[in-house]
Amino acid sequence: MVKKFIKITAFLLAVVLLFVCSYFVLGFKYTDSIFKMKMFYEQEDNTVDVLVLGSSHAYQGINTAVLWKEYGYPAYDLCGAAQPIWNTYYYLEEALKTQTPKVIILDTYTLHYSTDYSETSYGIKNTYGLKWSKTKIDAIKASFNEEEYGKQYFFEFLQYHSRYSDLNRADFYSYQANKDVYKYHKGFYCYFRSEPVNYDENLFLVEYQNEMTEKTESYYRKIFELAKSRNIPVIAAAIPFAAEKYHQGFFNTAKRIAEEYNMPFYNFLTDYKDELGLDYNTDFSDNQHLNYLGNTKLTRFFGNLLKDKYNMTDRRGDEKYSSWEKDSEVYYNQLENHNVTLTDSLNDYISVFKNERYKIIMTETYDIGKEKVPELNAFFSKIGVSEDEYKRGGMWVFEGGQKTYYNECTQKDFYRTVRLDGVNTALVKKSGERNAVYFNKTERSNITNGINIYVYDTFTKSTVDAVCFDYSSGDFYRKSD
Amino acid sequence: MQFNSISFLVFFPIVLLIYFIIPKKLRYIWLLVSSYYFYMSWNAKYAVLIAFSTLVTYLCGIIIEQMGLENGKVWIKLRRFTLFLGIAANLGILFVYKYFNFAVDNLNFILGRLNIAYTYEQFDILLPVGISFYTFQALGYVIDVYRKNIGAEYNIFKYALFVSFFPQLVAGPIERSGNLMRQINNIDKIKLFNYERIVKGFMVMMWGYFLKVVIADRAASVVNEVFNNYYAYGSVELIAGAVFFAVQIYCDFASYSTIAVGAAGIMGIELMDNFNTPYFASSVKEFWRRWHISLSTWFRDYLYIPLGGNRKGKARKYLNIFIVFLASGLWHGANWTYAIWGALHGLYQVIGDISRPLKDKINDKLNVKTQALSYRIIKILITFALTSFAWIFFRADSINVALEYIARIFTALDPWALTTGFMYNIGLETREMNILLIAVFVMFIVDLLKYKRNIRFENIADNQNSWVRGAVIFALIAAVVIFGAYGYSFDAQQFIYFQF
Repeated sequence: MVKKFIKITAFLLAVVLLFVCSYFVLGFKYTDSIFKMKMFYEQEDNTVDVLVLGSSHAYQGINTAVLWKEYGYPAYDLCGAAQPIWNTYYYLEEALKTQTPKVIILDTYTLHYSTDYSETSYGIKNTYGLKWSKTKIDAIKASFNEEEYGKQYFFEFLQYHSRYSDLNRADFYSYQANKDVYKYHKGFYCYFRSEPVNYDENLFLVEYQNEMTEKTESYYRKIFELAKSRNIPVIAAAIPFAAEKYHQGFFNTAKRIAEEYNMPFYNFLTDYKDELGLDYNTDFSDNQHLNYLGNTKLTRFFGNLLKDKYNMTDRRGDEKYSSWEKDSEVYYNQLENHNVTLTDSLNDYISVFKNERYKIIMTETYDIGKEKVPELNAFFSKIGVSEDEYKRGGMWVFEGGQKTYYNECTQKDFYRTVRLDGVNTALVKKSGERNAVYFNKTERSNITNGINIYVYDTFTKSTVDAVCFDYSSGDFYRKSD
Repeated sequence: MQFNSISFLVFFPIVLLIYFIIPKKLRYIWLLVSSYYFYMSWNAKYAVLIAFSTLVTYLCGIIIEQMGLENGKVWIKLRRFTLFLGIAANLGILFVYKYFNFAVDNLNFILGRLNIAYTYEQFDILLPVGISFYTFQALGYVIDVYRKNIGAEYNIFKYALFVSFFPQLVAGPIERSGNLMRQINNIDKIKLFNYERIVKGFMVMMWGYFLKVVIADRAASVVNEVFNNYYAYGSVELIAGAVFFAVQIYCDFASYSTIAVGAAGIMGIELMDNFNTPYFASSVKEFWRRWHISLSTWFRDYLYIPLGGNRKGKARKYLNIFIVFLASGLWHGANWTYAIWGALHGLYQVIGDISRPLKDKINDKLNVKTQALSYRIIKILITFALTSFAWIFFRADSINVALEYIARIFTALDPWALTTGFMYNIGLETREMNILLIAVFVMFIVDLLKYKRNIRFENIADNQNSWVRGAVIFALIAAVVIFGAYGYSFDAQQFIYFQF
């Protein structure tokens, strides 16, 4: 009897363990939604002064790092991809359980949605990050059509168990397998690429108001009502994107309703377009979202607005808010990486070698014309390569701003792996006159007469840049991914 | 509520727990209540149908038995008339709810040909689940009482439980009164805490779930893709589609019976084995001894034998076989595709029987060793090909589709598809297809063990250390919960069997 009891208990424990492991590995971790909510729970109570709510337009539009670095305002972009307004409402309800923001910035992009339920995947993304409570139950009820799907969405396992075909490294570690980048995440996400976006000059002319669905309008109003009941001012906004006239029609309605509650509405597509000063050729990453240039402008606008009109406190230097300092470091490191890719001469690259975060592999082959390039000598000496090594050529590794490895590579077919960090490894291959650096099975740079430089950031755990300098032509060029 | 629904995951443990703790005398009442709840969770109105069928057959049973005690020709005639009433009432329900629209369609078609305009309002009814199963089970009982094989049941609640016992209510096995009625009558004598029995019952249930959600529902993706877009595929993919349907339909049918056997087993009630490695059959005749055994024996005992079976000469025997299989086809669904499927099986057997002397002669002449393994394997493969071919009619939406499908197999030749990884382009991505193939292989091994060594799944680890059995159950649970086709990326397929 006792033996059987032990057996059964052990078996049940194994089954429980199976479900627990499945949850950790297979559970949803989308950074564009669920992860933001999960990280929000890690914020210390009553530290978020600026609560940003809404869709991707908001979490790629309000730059928490800039708002911290330049103004000292701790903000959190508690948003979700394509988030319908009812989900925004429940996010607010959840946020107010632990935080008392001084101000709420509300993105109103999704008010134009014409259906009462969003696509299943967005429904999941905008509810499954919540902890179990009445709020979550209400959110799920609002997000899925019960008549059609029954109650299955209350059972998360049903939805995520089949993710086995979708797993990647991030699923097996906490913080998306990159603690440096994600441990202090504040919901903000940034693109550094640029794409020109059309701006409809006639948006100004739209005066009509489009009618929102009953469900949308009621939740939009509920947000104001809830904020009001807690005495928190809301700043509603139309964040720039490639908007069409019918969007503007919805923003007009959104503005009218906001004003009914005595809350301001900033339409950056029309009313505040000039004040914001966006360049539609450079400040967007795609036709929906601002990039780093655009979001910096928008964030500064809000920073100034908050400073002038809202009772804000500069929290810089306060130990309680140190996680915002850490979070902003991530952004400024990414910005620095981006700036590396904008360099266009060997001389500009000298400072890159001094960056302590970077692990740099430099290889050289053949030396025809070496002496014809006068700045080469100076370059090598400035990055810490001795004259002797410079003359002999070979490969170098730099880390922590210092040269740490040199090999003359005299073998005919030379192979050397370079451990970049715990996971990633690069391969240096020199064969005959050709030398190349490989990362993730892809050749990142190669040249037959000159130097290859491959730059890896140990902080973001990603390739920063790969450039070549050709001795015979004197060209400095970049291999794009 | 389906076996692979959340409701059942809640329902079954509750039923079980109360079944285990209430007084023995109340057990059958509790199971009856549970069974009606189970059935009414589809649609409460259906309960009227099953109650009607139960009441009619219950009364018929008693009347027939009482009349049997009397002497005289009148009584014999009355007795026969009562049997007729019982049969007519049940087949009547079945006809109205299952075949009415089909009959009207056909009638209209014929009248239309005669240029008579006569259209009926179509009767809009969703086929009440399981109707074909419980009406047959109830009919079997009445006939058994008539034949004096068993005595009539006088406790209406016990009898109602026999007709509605929830594990086998909606998709079989179609139990015989001799087996299930006797166990219900002795339900208060079942020892509840039998560790071995409970563990094995659970193991059987999990195996059923494995067949259903890991294999059948996954194979369904391939089958739906190929059958819905047959015009875009060549012979290789079409053959693969037909073979996967053979796998799907087997796993789907067998899973339901297996879960039923396991669930009843946990409660201490033994249901009959409904599928016995049918694809290892080496003739179509043998296939029917292994496939849906409860149905084929039902047809044998209550239709084939009364028709005269093989006692009235060859011609009559073949006709009888044909009638039985046509009826079996139509039992599966009110559509000519099912009739053709049944007819094909009838034809296979008649031809097989007629050609036997010729085949024996050829084997004799060529010195073929008919006892050799190689010979048997070939026979098994041919039988599988024949049954898979017939399944095309079973699955196709109409006879025309089936015919075009078959025509394409022979005309749209694309043997090069074999070299281009066609398996991964017919509805399942690589990983899903690999999971399916591995799962089918596991099923093949399990069936092979049963076929060769007569080892049933629940006894598979009996000679091993006890942790092996634990590991088997654990692996099944893991496979079902993780690799099962349910939730977001899959639409939980309805158990195909319900519509029959």
